[in-house]
Amino acid sequence: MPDAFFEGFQLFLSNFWIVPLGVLIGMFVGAMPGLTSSGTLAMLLPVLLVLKPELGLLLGVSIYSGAEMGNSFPSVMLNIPGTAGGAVTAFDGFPLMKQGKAAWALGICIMASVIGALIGAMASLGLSPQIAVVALAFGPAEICIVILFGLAVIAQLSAGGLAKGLFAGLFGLLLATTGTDPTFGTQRGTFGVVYLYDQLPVIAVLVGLLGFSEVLIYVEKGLSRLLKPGAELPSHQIGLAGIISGMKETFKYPMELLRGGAIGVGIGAMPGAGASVATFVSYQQALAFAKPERKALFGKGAPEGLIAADVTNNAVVGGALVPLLTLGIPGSGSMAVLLVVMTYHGMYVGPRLFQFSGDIAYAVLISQFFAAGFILVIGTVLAFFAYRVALLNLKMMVPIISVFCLMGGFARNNFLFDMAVMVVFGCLGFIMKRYQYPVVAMLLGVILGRLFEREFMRAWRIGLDTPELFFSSAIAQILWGLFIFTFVGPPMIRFIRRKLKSRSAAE
Amino acid sequence: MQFLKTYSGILLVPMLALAYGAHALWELTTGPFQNATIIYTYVIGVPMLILGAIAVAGDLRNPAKARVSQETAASGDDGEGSVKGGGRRVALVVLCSLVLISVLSWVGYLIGFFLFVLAVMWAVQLKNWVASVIIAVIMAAVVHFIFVLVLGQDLPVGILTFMAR
Repeated sequence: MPDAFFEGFQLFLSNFWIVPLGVLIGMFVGAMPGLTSSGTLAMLLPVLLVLKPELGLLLGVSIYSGAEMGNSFPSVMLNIPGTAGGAVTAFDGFPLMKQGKAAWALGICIMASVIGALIGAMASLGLSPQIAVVALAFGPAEICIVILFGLAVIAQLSAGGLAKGLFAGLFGLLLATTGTDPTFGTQRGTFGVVYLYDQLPVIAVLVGLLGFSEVLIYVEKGLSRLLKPGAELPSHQIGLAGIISGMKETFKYPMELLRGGAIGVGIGAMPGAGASVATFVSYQQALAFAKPERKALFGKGAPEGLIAADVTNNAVVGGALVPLLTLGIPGSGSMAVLLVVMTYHGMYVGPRLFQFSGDIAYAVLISQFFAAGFILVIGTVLAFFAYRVALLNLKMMVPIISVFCLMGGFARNNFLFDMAVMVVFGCLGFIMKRYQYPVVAMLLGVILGRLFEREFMRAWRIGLDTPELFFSSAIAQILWGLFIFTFVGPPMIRFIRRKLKSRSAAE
Repeated sequence: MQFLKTYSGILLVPMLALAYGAHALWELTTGPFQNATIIYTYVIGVPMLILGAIAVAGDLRNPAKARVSQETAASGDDGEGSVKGGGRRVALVVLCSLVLISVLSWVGYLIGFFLFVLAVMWAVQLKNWVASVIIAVIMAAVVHFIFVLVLGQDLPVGILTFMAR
């Protein structure tokens, strides 16, 4: 074990109190329909920035972990998923509630989430330092290709299609050129506005795209209460004995746990995919591998389905940390917030993170194990009432979240101009979401734009004003291969699958 | 009018990108930019414009598919849970935010956020005025406690000059 690991452990122990707090906040956030973990982290950014970097990162990761579990409560109890990732939990969780087994289902959700979080923690702790060592060989050209690769993967997975995804990412990269050229010091895209001379206020952009755009979606949908007051609630079904019985049941499905965990880590590490994609894939795989007599139970209360959804949901967190800590590339909105926290505190972002801030990186990785423990304890307590958060009048949340977003825009520079930028990007994010442009791609472009431009310039100048360096090394060629595969691979796989299907149909 | 209603949303993001991209490329011809900066902007800007055109062409071919279907909101106890008038509500919330930003340095954060919360509550049609006033007072207090006292933010005090630190 490297020294940084033990230093990280010590650092974690001296700050571990923030983990249960984060898990608790995350569970409430996750239980509230429409409020995503990334939106909440964006909203809380002023707090995350004021805290010491290790505390801010531990709080952020804990909120993310808690939210992925918390979304199961309203999914099971009310058939109202707290987040997109929780939708699959409702497939089998809600039918179980209707059968009078709500406590049992919640027990399964809690234990599967704990195991998912542990698998994610083990994978990220095992993989991150190794990948970081490999990534140390990356030069400026390779870093540029990795950023492009990240944007390409997000684009490929975007609901609006590849063109919209890539367009959003490139628009973000172009917006990031606003301000002073990092290499030559010339000003661009400022329109003469003094506040833009440095660069586009990244924090205001982030809070707008992730947080304020969510508020506007809330407002447009005109949500008030998701259930009428006086509607019968299944609270009488919740009991400790049932929860414990459900927890024990989880261990009867080791293959589902392992498979779901692996899918969560793998898809979590892919930029842009996230828990919503991962849980659907995991559920589909659980169904495909189920015994024929069990298949009919899926959608009617199969514990395998519930386990597949929840173990994956939480394993995603560990997976998402891998590209952030090793390459400095955030795979999701939540990770983008953490990246901003890291850069705000002047931490090195990229493969050398483990060299320069290894203690903090390890503290974050180690914290996930403890977060899993707190999910077990806090989740069991909250199982009795957390789903009631979904009964709040959502209209009341609009001004509250708006105030936090406005303050989030203001926090970094204390400029009212930044608040206005936040509102503008909130509107832009709202329209982008409406017309299926992935905001995460644009955010990634804006956040990584400066790094991308700096490294591009370096590679260009090392190559004596030619693009030679981008294609000369073996690593660069492999990365280009992967980049091209993101475009060619999915249609190729679809084609092969279609051929195989038609062949088997003919036989 | 119907044309504008159907296509304005589809065209808005690409048009913004087009305007910004065109400005960025035009700026290169006017300023004292190095060769590498010019190439970088072209490497980003030109594919962006092409992809934007492809995205718009796809959306124009099938405008109905371009937009995410609005989920029908569950009806609330007061019958307010309606998608109808969503655009107007969004515009009002954005307007409230912009008005707050423009008057904040004059009225100060306590009065500003109090009025902002009330205005947003009105915009989202929360009809319980007692609850609205209570939430507005609480939010102004939260801003003062969390952001000014705990986080040490330097918010404009406006006409409440006695609050200046």
